[in-house]
Amino acid sequence: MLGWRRREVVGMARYGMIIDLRSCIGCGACIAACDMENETPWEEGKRRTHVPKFTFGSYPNVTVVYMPRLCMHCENPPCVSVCPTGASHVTADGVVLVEHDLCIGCKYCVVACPYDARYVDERIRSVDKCTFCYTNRVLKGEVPACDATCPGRVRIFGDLDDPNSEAGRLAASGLAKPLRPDLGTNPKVLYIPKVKSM
Amino acid sequence: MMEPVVQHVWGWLIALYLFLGGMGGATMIVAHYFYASKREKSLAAPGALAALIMVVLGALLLILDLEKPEKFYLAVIKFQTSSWVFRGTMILSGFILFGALYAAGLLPWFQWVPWAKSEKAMDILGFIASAFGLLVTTYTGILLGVLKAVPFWHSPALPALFVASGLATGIAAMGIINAFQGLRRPVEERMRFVGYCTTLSKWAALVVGAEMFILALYYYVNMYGPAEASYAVSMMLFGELRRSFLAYLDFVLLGAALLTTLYHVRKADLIAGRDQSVVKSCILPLGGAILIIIGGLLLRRTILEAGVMTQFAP
Repeated sequence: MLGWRRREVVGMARYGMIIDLRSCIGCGACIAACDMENETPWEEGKRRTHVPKFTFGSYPNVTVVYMPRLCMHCENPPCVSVCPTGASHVTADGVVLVEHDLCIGCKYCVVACPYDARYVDERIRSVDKCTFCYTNRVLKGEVPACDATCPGRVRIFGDLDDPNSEAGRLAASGLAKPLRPDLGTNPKVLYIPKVKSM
Repeated sequence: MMEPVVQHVWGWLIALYLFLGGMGGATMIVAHYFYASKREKSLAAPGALAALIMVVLGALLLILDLEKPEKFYLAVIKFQTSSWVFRGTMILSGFILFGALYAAGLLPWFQWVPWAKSEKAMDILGFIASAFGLLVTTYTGILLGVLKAVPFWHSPALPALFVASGLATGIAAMGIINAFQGLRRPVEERMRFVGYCTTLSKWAALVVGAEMFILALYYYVNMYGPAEASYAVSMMLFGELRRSFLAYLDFVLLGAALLTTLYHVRKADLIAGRDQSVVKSCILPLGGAILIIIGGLLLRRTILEAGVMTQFAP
């Protein structure tokens, strides 16, 4: 909520990502790009993004969905309110970040995140998560590494409030939906479903 | 439901912390009861000291569980009031401060402190320490209960369950202290401790009854709750956590049964005018008290292991 209010005052962007599940083929290029860009531990369960596979139905009516997962950069992030030191915070652009020097590693945010987006990086003895490549790419005018690498244009990063951006248009169209809106977190990563029952 | 994801970052250290916090807080309450209503320093002093040691040990385990234990002070300096970790730090600090002042006034080595001589000051200190004790016991449940990401924990019944379990273990801990204090006394004084033992046994059995009632409601409602909560319950009743959950039930129920039996045996002895030996009335309930305490630890561990996170599918 704090990030939202700050954005109104400063008039900055509301960064988010649209993920088009209709186009994802599960190639994993986004995972590799993220791991290389952010030097993540390269271990199962310790990645900023991953792409689980879901299979629906039974032969011959089978649907396979690859669902890229990352931090949802919620507007009402539970990880931020439970952090005892303020290490987890929201930037003026609405991006949720972890300040590693302030993180004491209580892991409360890891359990508080309903999207299982956080992990403990033992190398830096801190909790880590997707940053939308905020400091290393977005502030330099580039899109996050996963978006830049995706061969199917599955990931579309941008200002969700900008009607001229592709992300903004898709967000406004109502085609893209958040995960578990009932949790009240208002995620800024929205999914265009492949199957109707999302 | 898709393959469930269970929280894996909180393990034995946090389970021990939740257990010691709950038991320590409740032990302080029972210890203060013996001072406030009976002026029984021989129980209140070791009880308050034991409560203090339990909570300090729990707090040390909490610090040890941090990825950066050397930076634990940041939780106080860079505090964020919305976090239950910060609030818990404040509650633990208050408990340790007032618990230490209260224990000092009761212990024979610190009788030189000015408040030790004033019963009114000790009553006030004991009340504040007990209030913090209740907060510590309740907070261990709230810490988990506020997390929406784990639907099984996200229930007002969880703090209630932790309070009941904390009280049962606290009373059991005082039962153990009482037995040892009784044995150290001359024979003519022992009957007093036999009486306390009976009271504590009755309380423990009643609180365990309340704990079982809350547990049954908690599980029943969760079985019909969100899929994740229902899965967590089935993990405990029929799945991989079945053994530890059954062990918890066995320990606590057997402990309570033992205490109830001995309570009635003592009552029968009193009516029949038979001899009231400390061995029979106090040492035997030790077994029941120890079982209840082990059960309290198993409960915290099992609940943590059943932390099924929210699920979603495309």
